[in-house]
Amino acid sequence: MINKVVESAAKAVADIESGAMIAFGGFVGVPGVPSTLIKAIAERGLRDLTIIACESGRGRAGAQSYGTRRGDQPYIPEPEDGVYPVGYLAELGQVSKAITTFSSINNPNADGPLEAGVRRGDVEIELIGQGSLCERLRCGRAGLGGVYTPVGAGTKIGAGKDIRHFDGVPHVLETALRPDFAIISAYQADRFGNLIYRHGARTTNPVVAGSGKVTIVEVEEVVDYLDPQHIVTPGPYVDRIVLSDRRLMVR
Amino acid sequence: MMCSLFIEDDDDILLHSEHGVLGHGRTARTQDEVDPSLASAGRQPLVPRPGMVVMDHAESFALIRGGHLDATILGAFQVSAQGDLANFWLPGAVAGAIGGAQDLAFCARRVVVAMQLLPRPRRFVNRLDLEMTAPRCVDRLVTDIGVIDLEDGKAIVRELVPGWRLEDAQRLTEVELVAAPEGIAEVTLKSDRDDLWNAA
Repeated sequence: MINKVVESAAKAVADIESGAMIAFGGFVGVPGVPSTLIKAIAERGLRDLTIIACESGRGRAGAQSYGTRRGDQPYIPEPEDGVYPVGYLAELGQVSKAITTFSSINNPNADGPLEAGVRRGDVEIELIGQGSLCERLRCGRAGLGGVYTPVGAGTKIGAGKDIRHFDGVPHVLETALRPDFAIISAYQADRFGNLIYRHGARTTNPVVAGSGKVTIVEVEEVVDYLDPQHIVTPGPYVDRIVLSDRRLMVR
Repeated sequence: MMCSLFIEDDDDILLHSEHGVLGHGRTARTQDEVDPSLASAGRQPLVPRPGMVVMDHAESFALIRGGHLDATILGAFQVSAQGDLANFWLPGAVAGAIGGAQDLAFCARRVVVAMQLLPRPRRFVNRLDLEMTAPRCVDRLVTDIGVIDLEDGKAIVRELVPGWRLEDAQRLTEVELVAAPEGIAEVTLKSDRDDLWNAA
C-alpha cells in the first residue's frame, strides 16, 4: 500500500547531507513557508548547502518584522515565534550558495544573513527574478533543459547567459534547476502525496514540488480523500509527507 | 500597495499579487475577517471577493510575462528619461532584491513608477547610475510633486500638486520637463479610506 506519510520531520530530512542543493517553496511574509521542515533541516547542523528559494535574505528576526504594522489594521495571526524562514539556514552559517530573488534586506544600514556571508567571503549569491526562478524549477520538474525568457536581457541578471532573438526580441537562456531535495508546504495531502493548497499559501510550493530528486512536504492535515478535480500537485511529485507544527487552518 | 486603497469595492479592477492571488478584495478590517492563508505580497490580510482566483507562482508569472497584465505599479530607486528603471540593487550593496520587479518591468503592458522626487537627489535622471532592472519600460511617473509621462524620450508633465509650477518641478531633476499640450492639471486624490491612508 502506498503511504508516503513519515512520522516526524526529523526522520523525513534525515538523509539530507552537507553540500546538498535544496529548493524551498514559500514566500517569506505570506503563509506557505515550510517552516517545520526548515527547522528540522537546521537541527541537522549541515554545512555548504546550496539553497534555492524565492526569499532567503531575511533571518528569523527579519521574517517576523516583515510587513510593517499600520494603524489598527488586523494582522495575520501567525504564531510568529514558530516561523523558520529559509534565511534561518543562512543565519546559522549552513549555506554557501543561494539562488534567490531577494538576497538583500535592502537596508543600507544593516546586512541580512546572506549579505553578511558575502562580505565574509563564504557565501555566493545568484540573484534572479521570480518568474525566471520558477521556470527553472518547473523545467527541472518537467524534464526540460531550460527556457528562453525576454526578462533580464541587457541587465546584470542576463549577463553571461546565452542570448537568442525571437521575433527580434533578445531572450535569455535560463537553465533548469534539479536540486537534490525539494521542501514544500501544502494544506492537505492524501497518502498518495496528492496535494491541495489554501488561498495565497500556494505560492511557489507547486512549482518546487517535483523539481528535486526527493520532494518532502509538510501539511496541516492528511485526509482519506481529496477531490481529484481539485488536486493541484499530483502525488508522483511527492515522496514524503509530514505534519506541520504550524497548523493555521486545522484546529 | 497603497494604491489599492483608492479603488472602490465595485470598481472591477482586478489586483494581482505576485505570489498568486488575483482579484482579491480589500484588506481585512476586523480580526473576524482575517483568513491566515490569504494575504497580499506585503502581508496585508485580504478578504476574498467573487471572481478571485489563486494560482501558483509559475502561473502568476506566466500572466505577467505573457503580457496579460494591463499595468503594473512599481517603486524605483532611479528612472531615466528614456524610461530605464533601476529598483533592485542599492549603491554599495553586496546583494539585491529583484523579486518580481524584472518580470513586471519587462512584460507588463504599462509600467507606472511611484516614487518621491523631493527627499533624495538623482531619482529622475538622463542616464542611470544604478544597475538597470529593465530598459525603456517606464510609461509614467507618479511622484510626490506630480505626474510625469515618458513618451519617446520626452518627460511630459501632466499634473502638479497645488502651488507648484513647471519651473519648481524642473529644479528637482536634470531631465528637461515639458508641459503637457493640454496644460498642467492640479493633482487631486480621492479615497474613502482616509483612515488607512493616514495610518500608513
